[in-house]
Amino acid sequence: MTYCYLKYSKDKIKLALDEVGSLEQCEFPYSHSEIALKKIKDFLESLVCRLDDLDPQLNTKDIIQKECKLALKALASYIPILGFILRSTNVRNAFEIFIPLLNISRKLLEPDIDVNQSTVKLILSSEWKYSPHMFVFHQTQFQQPQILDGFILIGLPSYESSNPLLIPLTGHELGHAIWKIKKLENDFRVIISKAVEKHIKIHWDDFPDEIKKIPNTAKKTDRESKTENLFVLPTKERATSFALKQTEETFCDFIGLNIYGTAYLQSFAYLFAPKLPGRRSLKYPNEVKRTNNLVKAAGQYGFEVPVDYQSNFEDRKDPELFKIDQLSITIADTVFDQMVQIAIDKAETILSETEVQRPDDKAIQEIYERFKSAVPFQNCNSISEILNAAWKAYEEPDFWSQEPLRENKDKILKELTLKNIEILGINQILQGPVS
Amino acid sequence: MTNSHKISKTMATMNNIPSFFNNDLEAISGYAATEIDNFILKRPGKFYAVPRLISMINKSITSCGHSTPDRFNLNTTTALAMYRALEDYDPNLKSTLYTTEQLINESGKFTENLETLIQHPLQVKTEDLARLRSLCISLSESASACEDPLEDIESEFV
Repeated sequence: MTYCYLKYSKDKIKLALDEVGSLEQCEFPYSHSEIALKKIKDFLESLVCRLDDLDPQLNTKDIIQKECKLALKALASYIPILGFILRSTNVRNAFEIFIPLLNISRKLLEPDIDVNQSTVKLILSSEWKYSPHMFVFHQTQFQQPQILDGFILIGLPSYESSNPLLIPLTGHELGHAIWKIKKLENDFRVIISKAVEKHIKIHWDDFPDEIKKIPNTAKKTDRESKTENLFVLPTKERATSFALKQTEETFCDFIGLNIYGTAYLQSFAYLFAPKLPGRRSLKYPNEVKRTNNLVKAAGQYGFEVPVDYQSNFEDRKDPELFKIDQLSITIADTVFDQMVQIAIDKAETILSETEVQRPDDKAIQEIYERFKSAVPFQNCNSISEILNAAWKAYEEPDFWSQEPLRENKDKILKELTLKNIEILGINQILQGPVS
Repeated sequence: MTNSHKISKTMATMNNIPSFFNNDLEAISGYAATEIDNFILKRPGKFYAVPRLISMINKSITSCGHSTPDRFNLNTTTALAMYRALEDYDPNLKSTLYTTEQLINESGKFTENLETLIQHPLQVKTEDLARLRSLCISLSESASACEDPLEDIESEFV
């Protein structure tokens, strides 16, 4: 028996391996990209070996099909990452922020290990996308192959590469890594499942009859059951998954807020206000609710909220859904609301157990004063304080009165901020070698 | 059966499975099917994915007792994948499977059969092996159907 897709699958992976070989010739500013490349190469080679092991004369067709599907799934998952690694070499990247971001990542993700001994690795890239993003290897329900465990891949918009004011949004992306490492999904799944069951009972009359009706042949207790009914399982699954996803995204907002304080709120507004195009993504709370949750968390964490902050945001329209899907989303949204306070507390507790310090108002003011003189502050301790000072200056229309500073304020301020971050990075390198 | 097909219990450990597939139900069940197929073909090999699959199903479904507080540990996504897999594998189940309790029981039977394969591989009949292989394939397919489309694997900030 000949299966064309077996040959095609092997050929595609071999071509990808050739491409990895070319990428290995790139000049990498940091070793982490090279290490990731080596891991991907080993992984792809193991996929080829698996396919080579198949015997079309002996193995059944469905086995050969399945092996090819899994190989292609893995390949398709990692092709974008090869591009990401390539772009990590681009001079467009703000290399100044690498060490300070790595430092924060390591303190957050391996709080019990010395920063210089940590195994956490960072790949920073400039991406042609509107918003920052990261690759999360636990994005799908059943996960993608985990070959880059311990790696944080953060892509910043290339058109904003000279703008450090967006950096606080990387705090959100680090939140995804914490969510995964701390296995927070398991904790929240139990709480959310309970709440979803409760709401299914509340909304029971809204369910279509064909879902509610268990055949008469079933036991009486089963027929009377609501949440144990398997016909309800898809609705339960959908509601639970969306509530979990919204909780994760909100938790990540709270991590970003905890790390960067008011600067997170400001960069968030810079990117999102008044609203993004298109309908609402059901994996996120709508903009107004998301912003309200941020403001609520800022109150608990003690961060100043910019004046009229919430009024800058507008909701996107919900998508048109069938009634049963709408019911899932209604339950997910209601259950998610009950998770917000838990997520606020969880983010606060997790940050308090690390060496990541919240931005200090006095330190921010010191940096701000130095910026007034258009010089960086040499002794700053955190990237967060630099960025809060930068945002403070950015929001101040008359920050500089003298020319040429006044006329070129934004450009000079951003360069000054990057320079200050570079000095912070040098100070951190002087405290110990970065592996 | 030749000696080469005896499965060593100590070797049949989940630690040996490539770590990058540890939590991927589609891959684990798919690779479990391949291992069973190779066993049927008397090709030398060890069970790595099968014990991992047992562990995943037990953790996500069968250990979540019906109508006890444990039921909230039920992973609804894994449960839905198993429900669809059982329906595809045995159309007769479609008309008789309608409660979580039944799903947990059916999943339990599946993992027990897989466990027997690991513990006493030579006792499992060839037709039962073929059924286990088919159910593993069905589970892998239904797990795939529960996943986000490939286009969405990048986590956008928005």
